[in-house]
Amino acid sequence: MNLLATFKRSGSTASARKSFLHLSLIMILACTIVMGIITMVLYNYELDQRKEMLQVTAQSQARLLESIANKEIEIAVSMARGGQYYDHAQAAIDQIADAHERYEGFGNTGEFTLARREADQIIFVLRHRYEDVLHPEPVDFSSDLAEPMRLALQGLSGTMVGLDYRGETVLAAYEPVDVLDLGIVAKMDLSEIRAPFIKAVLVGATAALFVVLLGTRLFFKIGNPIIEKLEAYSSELEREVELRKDLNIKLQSNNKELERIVYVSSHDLRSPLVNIDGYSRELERSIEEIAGIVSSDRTPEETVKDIAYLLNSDVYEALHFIRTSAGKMDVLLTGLLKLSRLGRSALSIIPLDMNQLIRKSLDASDYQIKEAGIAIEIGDLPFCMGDRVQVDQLFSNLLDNAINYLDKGRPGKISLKGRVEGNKSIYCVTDNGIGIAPDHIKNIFEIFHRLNPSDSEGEGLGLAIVQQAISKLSGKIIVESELGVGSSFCVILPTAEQDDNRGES
Amino acid sequence: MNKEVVILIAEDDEGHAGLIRKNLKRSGIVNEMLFFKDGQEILNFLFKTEKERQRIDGSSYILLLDIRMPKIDGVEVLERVKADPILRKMPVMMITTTDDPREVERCHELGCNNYITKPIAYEDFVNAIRQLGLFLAVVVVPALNGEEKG
Repeated sequence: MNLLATFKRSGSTASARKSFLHLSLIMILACTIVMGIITMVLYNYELDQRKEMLQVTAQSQARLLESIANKEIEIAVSMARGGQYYDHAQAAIDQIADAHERYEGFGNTGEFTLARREADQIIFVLRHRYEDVLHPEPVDFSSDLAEPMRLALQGLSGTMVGLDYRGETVLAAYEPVDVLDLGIVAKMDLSEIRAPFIKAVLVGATAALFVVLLGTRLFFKIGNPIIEKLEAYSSELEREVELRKDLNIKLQSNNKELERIVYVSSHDLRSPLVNIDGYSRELERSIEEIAGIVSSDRTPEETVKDIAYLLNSDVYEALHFIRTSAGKMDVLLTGLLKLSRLGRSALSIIPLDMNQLIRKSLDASDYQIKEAGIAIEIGDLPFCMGDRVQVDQLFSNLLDNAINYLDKGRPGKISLKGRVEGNKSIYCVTDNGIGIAPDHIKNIFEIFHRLNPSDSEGEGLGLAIVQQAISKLSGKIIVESELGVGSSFCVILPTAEQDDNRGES
Repeated sequence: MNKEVVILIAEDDEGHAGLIRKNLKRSGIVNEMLFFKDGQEILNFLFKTEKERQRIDGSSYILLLDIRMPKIDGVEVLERVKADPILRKMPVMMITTTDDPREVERCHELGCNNYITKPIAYEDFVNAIRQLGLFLAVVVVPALNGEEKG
C-alpha cells in the first residue's frame, strides 16, 4: 500500500495528511480494543461453559465409578463367601479402563485421568491420550504437576486452571471417587479453548487494519482533490483579503493625503487673503491720513511732502503686498489645478523604455544644463512598468530639482543610474547640490512647501507631484541627503520584461 | 509689559509680519521686535546655533509663532521649545490662519499659552492683535536662564 506516497504528494497539505494518518491509527486502535473486549467476554463465557461441562462429566464419571465399585464389592463379598479372593477395586478399574479403551476423549485434547495415591506418588490407572504405556509415569505428590488430580485425591471437588501430569496448562474439573479412593479429573488443554479466540483476534485485527487503511486510502483518493480545491480557494481568498487590505491602506493614505492637501491649500490660500484684506485697510487708513493732511492748515509744500512720504512708504507697501498676494494666489490655484489634473488623468501602465524617456526629458533642459556647465551622467536604465505621463513628470521634476538646487560654489554634477532588484526597477537621481538638513526632509513632499522660498523661484509643487505620481504608480521613493553635500532620490517601480518589449516606443 | 521683553515673531509671510508689527505698535507696544522667516531661523536663535543672532541669557522673550513655515513648522518649533528646560518658561502664542480644532488642541497640548487665528476680516485681526497687546501688557514674562522679571 503506497499510502506514504499519497501523503507525500503535496508538501503544503502534509500536516492535514499527518492528522488523517493519526486518525486512522486511532481508528485501528479503537477497532482492536473493541474486538479485544468482545473476544474476552466470549472467551470467558466459553471458559465457563467448558468448566461446567468438565465438571458435569467428571462428577458423572465419578458417580458411575462409585456405583460400578459398589457392584464389584457385592461380587467380591459373595466370592469371599465361596472362599475366593476378588480384587473388586481392580475389577472396577478394569471395567472403566475397558470402556476407555474405546473412548478417544473429547475434543482434540480432552480426556479423563484416573489416579490413586500410593505413598508420596500419584499413580495413574488409565491409559491416557498422551502416553503409549498403560499408565503415565507416576508423579510426585509434592511436585507442581498434576495439580487437579492432587486436589481430587485430597477429597476436593471443583474446577481450576493448572498444570496437568504433562506440565501443560489445562482447564480441569476434579472429583474424588469415594469408594475406590481414586481421583478423577476431566481436563482439556487451555490452548485448545483459546485457539479459536486467538485466531479470531488475529483475523479481526488484520481485517480492521486492512479496512481502515483501505478506508484512509480511499478517503485520500476522494478527499485529496477536495482538499486541494479548498486550499486553492483559501489561498485565493487570502490573496483577495491581502489585496483588499493593501487597497484599504492605499485608500486611507490617499484620503489622508487629500485631507492634507485641502488643509494646506485652504491655509495657504487664506494667507494672501489676510494680506489683501489687511493692506486694503491700511490703504484706507493712508487715504484717511492724506485726507487729514489735505484738510489741515499746512503749507502747500508741507502738504505735498507729507503726502509724498505717505505714498512712498505706507501706500506703496500696501499696494505691493496686495499685488504680490494676488499673484501668489494665482500661483497656488494654478498649482492646485495642475496637481489635480495630473491626479485625475487615467493611467495606462505599459513597459517603458527609460533610456529613451529620460533622453527626451533631458533634451528639454539641454540649454539650461549647458549654460550652467553641469556634468550629467546617465547610466543604462532598465525598463519599468508605468504610465508614460506620470513617469515622465516624476523624473523631469526630480531632474529639475537636481539642476535648480545645485550649489553655486562648485561645478554641478548630476547622475541618473538604474538597476533591477528582483521584480523592481530602481532609479537614483543623485546630485552634489545644496542638500537637505535631516530635520527638513520629512516636509519636502508636502504641497506648497518650500525650504528656501526667498532663494529661488518655484511654486512648491515639484515633489508633491512626484509623491502623487509615485503613489499612483504603486512605487516608492527613498531620499538620502546631506546638507552641503548633495541629495539622492531613488525611485522604485515595478520592473518590466525588457527584452520582449524593446520595440515599444 | 516690561519694555525689556523682546517680542520674537516667527512668520514666513512678510505681509503678515508687517501687519502684526503695525498693529502691535498701534496698540501701544513699543518693545523690541525680532522677525524670523522660518522655523529653522527661530530655532537657531533660541538654541544659539547661529552666530549672527542669538538669544541672550537672562533676557525675557515672548514668541509669536506661525504654524506653516518653511523648513520646520511652528508646531515642531513649539514642541522643541516646550521640551527644553530653559525655553519652556517662555510664553508662546500661535498666530496662524487655520482654526482647525485638532491643530488648536495639539498646540494647547504641547503647552502654547495662546492661540490666535489670523482672520481675513481686518477688524477681527486688529482686535486679536490688540487683545494680544493687552495680554502682553499684563503678563509677567520670566527671564530665561535667570531671575524672573515682571
